[in-house]
Amino acid sequence: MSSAIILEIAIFTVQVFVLIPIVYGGIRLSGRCRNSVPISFFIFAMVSYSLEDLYWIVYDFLRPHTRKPFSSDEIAKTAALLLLGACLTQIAHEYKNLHIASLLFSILFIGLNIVLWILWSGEWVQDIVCSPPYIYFLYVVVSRSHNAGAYKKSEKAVAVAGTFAVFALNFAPIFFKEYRAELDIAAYVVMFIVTGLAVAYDYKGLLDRDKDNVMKALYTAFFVFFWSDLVLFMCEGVWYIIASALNILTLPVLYFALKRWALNDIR
Amino acid sequence: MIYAENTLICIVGPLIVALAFTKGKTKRFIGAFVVGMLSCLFAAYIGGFWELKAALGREDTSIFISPVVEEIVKFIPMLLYVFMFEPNDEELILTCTGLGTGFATFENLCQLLAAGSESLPYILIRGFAVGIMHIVSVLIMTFAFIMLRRKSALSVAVIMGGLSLSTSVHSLYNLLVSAPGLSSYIGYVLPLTMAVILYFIRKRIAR
Repeated sequence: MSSAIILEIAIFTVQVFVLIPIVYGGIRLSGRCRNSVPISFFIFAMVSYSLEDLYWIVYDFLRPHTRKPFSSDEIAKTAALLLLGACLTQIAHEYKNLHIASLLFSILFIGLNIVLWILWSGEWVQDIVCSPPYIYFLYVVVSRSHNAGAYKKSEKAVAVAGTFAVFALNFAPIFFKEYRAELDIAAYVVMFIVTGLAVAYDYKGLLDRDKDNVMKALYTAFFVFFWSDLVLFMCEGVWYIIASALNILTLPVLYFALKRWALNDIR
Repeated sequence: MIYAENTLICIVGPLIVALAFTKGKTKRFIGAFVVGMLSCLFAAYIGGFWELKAALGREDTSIFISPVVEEIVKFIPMLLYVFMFEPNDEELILTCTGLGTGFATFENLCQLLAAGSESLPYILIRGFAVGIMHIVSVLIMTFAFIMLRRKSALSVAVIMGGLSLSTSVHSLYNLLVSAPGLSSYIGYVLPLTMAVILYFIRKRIAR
């Protein structure tokens, strides 16, 4: 078993140990809320996420260095995203109307990701079939946060610029093959700077005790979790381990942001 | 090679006749049991098709494809039952238990016909691990439905969530038992452990 596989097993194990108290906390929280439906969706999403991790841990132990075909962990990831999207839909239920601009943005954003996934893996059927939950989740977060006026124009501009810079650097090696190695390193550096800043902004939002920013902190938590999940697909080797660590950091923020919202709803 | 369809006809015959002489919960359970056995046969057809289409070996099929196919095939009659008959919680648990039991029983029957019943360890594994796994996976979906239906939150996301939970547990079991050693022992113990946990969850739901 190579060191990369051992590190992968270690990081997934850490993620499971982070998810267990989150699920437990969610169960306790749902018993105290008037509207426990979003919390229930969140609990199921985190249980799906942890089952996906358990599956990867067992797979890495039993079949290291073999490429895994489409299996149930993809379904678990899909379900987790659908459930988190449903959670946010329940919380921000007043913004039910279809928002075309958000939908188009979500399709374009995930479409760019799909193109990259297909270029890297060659599994175009699987990548296209698994993309609708990603589009749904992103649409829910973008449309609800836009309708709520959660972010200033400058904040949106920085987020869009950062993410599209990452995409540009990931697409660049296709057109400039002779600079592939340098562009790959540049892509990783920019990606982790953007993700690191996003995670820091996520924690800043959580630590902000202003009651008016509860929903903004929640939207940020969902955004950053989603972005860190997409970043995982863009990494391999030791970079994947770093991306996984950043993804793990977003999980407690997701829970505590939801808890802050729910605490306003305690019976 | 076994003649699974003939086996099904032989087993289902008396059960269908029994439906005419039973009513209420018994009739519902027997009906679900028959549907479970039919689902098992369908799952075998679909799994066999995907095994050839994806060009995977038998072991890879049982690890990656069978759990997904089997859970979806069990899930469809359950979903139809929920939306067509709007059963209460007790009726749903009873029917889904029948569905899972029928599935497990027919699968075990076919495996015994194919592999023989001389080996006691093999029988114990089929009976107390694989068989229970099918009931556990159906009950996971059922309890997820019940808990969220009570909160009037049944939606596509919930349905996918319930399906993913049962598929993940089933896949985990198949992966664990695919290799000899410690992982297979953990796998064999998993269904019975989950059945005990679900028993306590069921008592809590009933309260």
